[in-house]
Amino acid sequence: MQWWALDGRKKGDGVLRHPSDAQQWKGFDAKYPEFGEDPRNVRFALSTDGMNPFVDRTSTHSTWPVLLSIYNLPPWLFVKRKYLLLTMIISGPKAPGIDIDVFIEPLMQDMEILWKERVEMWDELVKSAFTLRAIIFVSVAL
Amino acid sequence: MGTKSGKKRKKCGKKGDATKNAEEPNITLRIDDTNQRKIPALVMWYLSPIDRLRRLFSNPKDL
Repeated sequence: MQWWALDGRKKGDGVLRHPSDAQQWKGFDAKYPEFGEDPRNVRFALSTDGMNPFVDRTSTHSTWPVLLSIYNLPPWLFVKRKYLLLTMIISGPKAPGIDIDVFIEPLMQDMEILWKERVEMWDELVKSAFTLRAIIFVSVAL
Repeated sequence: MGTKSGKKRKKCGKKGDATKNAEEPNITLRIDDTNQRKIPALVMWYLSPIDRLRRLFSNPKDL
């Protein structure tokens, strides 16, 4: 989770190796220095797409998984199944379409907690508790 | 989304049979699954990301 902030990582030479090398990340840290202070604070990418678990019934079923990926992780890890957070599965006869904002409401409530109220979290690496904040940094259109 | 195939149209005919059954309340109680087109239920699963993060931070190998 802190890999992107480590001194051992090659950075600062203008090459984009991780989202943290990009302007959006730095700009966000500049706007909310309190958030950028702790490299453990999580930055999520939100993505969703329609898929069909039943191959032949294309028009009668629709499943929409909503995924959160953690951009703090190294780029070779954050798309691995272990580190993808499948937060939501919306399955039904039709795609949720524009009404997806209603389905996403519980996720937004959790995100509000993670941003405004913060969450007490135990860090096993340093064996101490800390307060975690998180933000949906980007949304990925598939 | 999706195209109408011959198979689907055949099923629509069967759906008509089901509505005919609905008009006679005595028969609807004995629903025949083979004659009825099932409609998938709209279900939403929500798994809290906070718990997943808690789990992630509790494993030193993941940090």
